[in-house]
Amino acid sequence: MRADALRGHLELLLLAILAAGPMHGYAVIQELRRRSSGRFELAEGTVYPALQRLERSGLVASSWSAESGRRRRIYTLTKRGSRALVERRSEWAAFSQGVAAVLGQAT
Amino acid sequence: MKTPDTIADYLVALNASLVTSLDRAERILTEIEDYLRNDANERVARGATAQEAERAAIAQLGPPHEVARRFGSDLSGSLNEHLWRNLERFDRWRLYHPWLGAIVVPTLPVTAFFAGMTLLMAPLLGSSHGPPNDWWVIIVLSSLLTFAAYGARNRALLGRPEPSFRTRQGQWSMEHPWLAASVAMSPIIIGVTRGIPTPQGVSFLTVFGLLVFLKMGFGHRGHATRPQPHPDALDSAPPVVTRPSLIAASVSFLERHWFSIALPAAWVVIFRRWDLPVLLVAGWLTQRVAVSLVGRKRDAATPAARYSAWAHEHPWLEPVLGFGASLIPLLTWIIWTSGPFPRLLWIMLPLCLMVAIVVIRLATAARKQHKESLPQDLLADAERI
Repeated sequence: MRADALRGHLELLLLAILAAGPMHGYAVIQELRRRSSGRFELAEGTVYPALQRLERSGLVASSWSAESGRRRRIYTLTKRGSRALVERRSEWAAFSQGVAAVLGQAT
Repeated sequence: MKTPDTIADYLVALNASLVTSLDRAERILTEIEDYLRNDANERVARGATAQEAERAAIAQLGPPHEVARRFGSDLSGSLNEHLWRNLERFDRWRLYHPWLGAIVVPTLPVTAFFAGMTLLMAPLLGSSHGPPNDWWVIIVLSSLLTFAAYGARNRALLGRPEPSFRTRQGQWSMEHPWLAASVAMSPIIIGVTRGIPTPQGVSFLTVFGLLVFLKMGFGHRGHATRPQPHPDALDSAPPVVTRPSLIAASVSFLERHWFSIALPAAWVVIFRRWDLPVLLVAGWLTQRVAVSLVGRKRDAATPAARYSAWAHEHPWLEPVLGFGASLIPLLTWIIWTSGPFPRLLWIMLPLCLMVAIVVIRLATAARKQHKESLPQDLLADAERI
């Protein structure tokens, strides 16, 4: 899938991944790759700015942790982020149903 | 621009392209370093050599200037951050107009510097300590030397391969640290050679200029001599990004803080008075209180984010609050001690207003551009929230 097709949906994907529990940035990227089975042509440089945007919006919180001598930023979904995820999931479901209906599923 | 081959080089290039505060740069660089090392380690585990692994991890992440652009600039909302962010358009113009840029760029800060210094010093010291009679000679000599130095530097930047004026300037400064410091400080160097007198008979600008010159020079040198990890020891290599290395290496940190450090220090040393440092600290506290107050009702995770939300709603008020609140104690003191309208205040007020209007216009225009560059879904989310 092209990177521009992901535009607008990356933050929903990140919220969904963080719903599984707190993670650092690299783990988020790995999980994104694993769940999508490598379908997204995602430039990894877009994930960290997106995480910071989510944090500025209050949907995600973060804090430093030290692992084997290295500092890592751990991201956690906030309550507001959980609510936003529920809301955006339902929006996505309605959107994808609409697209599927227009394209025609019985091909 | 050639993409760096090693993680350390990549981080240096990314740091040079970031337009943000020291704290945020530290966070971004630490996270990116963590990502690159993890990715490279995985590739090594799959059989790649360390060099191949680093190159592949870097290629996967993208060119440093592109990654820096995605992070955008800081949204903390302070006047400094707005200016850094908003000068991008101006940077594009001056890249292709080296001689015009050489005249415009130093003129604004030098005007603000002399106007500000006169505003600060004259009322506190009394009107008998105004500019010397041969002031105009200093101005003319400073201007000519400065225009020539900036013009020559800008011409040199034209032929460089980096993508933007700021990255070209950063790389050039790293390669020629003392030359860069000399160009940046050329107006003050002229002031030093002319020996502007103070009431104590000491040249104020001699001390002041030397201090700034040394700080700038060391800043550029630190940037150029960042330690490089051994490429074969990805796991055991110490982190490239550390707070001390960033502070030592960050030209922007020194450029942003030299005035607030050097001016009060020189004031205390030369005049043996503590009033200006105390007033500046009081101004900083006033600004922090004002920032907390205006952001308190905004719904965001951190105080900086709450202030940022307020600043985006009030683009014209933000520079007034961001800069003006810090001046309240100082102006109150000046008016209290020397009457409401000292003669020099009348002279300098229009000049300062002119500079302030230019600053506000730049900040507002570039804020609009920045907003347009943000992803539309993010803006829609922000509006909905």
